[in-house]
Amino acid sequence: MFDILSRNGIVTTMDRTMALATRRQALIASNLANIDTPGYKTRDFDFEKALRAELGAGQGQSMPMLRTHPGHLGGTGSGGSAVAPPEPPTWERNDGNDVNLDRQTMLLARTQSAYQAAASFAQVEIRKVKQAITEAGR
Amino acid sequence: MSSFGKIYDVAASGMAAQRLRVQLIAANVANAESTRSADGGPYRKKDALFETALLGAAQDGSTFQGVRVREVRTSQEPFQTRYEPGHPDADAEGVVRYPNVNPVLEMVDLTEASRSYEANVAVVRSVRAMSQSALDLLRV
Repeated sequence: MFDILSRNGIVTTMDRTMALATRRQALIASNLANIDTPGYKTRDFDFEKALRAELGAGQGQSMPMLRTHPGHLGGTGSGGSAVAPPEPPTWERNDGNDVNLDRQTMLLARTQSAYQAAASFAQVEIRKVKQAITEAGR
Repeated sequence: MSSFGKIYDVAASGMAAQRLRVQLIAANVANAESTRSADGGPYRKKDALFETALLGAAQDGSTFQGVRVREVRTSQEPFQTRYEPGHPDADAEGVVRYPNVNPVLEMVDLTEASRSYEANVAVVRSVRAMSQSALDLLRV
């Protein structure tokens, strides 16, 4: 009975998204803290790819998109949401450090947005469950 | 939440390192004309050397890499010299040795340190907003 949320597809998907976003934010924080450390190399991972791998690894808990019409998007695969792997640095300083301040600042904001969007979706879903519980008691 | 705590630690290490750098720049600029120092000769420019500091590891194996000051380096570059015969620190030929501080370079360095500090502050702001939205899940 108590796995009402832990078996909820949306909540678990958003939970993993938030965990991955936190992990990426830690890497961005490291990159920005070491922006003036000689020899430091930028650390990052492919967020979309990692998320897809995480969700695919769940035991049947991932939610493939249902296609009821040939014009529908296929979800994973040909969805066009794939993001290229982290691009190589375009410039390098003479101290061997390749952290790009502008790019990392952009990624910081983008990862924060991803995290907050996932939290909002999870909140909406949890609210629905709560509503179902309270309305049943009337 | 502990993950957020570690990110705060990383950002704080960056802020501390950049602040020490600004302190050294302030000392350099303040002593740009000091012809005498504790170790005898004119003041020597000081500079912070940074290195990566491991602040912990997450369960998934990823590491939290902060930064720390490895050493405060004293510049061994040659001093500037000026001909000022009346100066109390002038040598027999009337030449006074002045610190090896270039105020223009110090200002450029100051701007860079200040930008890097702000980048770490941005991380703190972002993580705070994220933890706030996580806490909001409790208020459904």
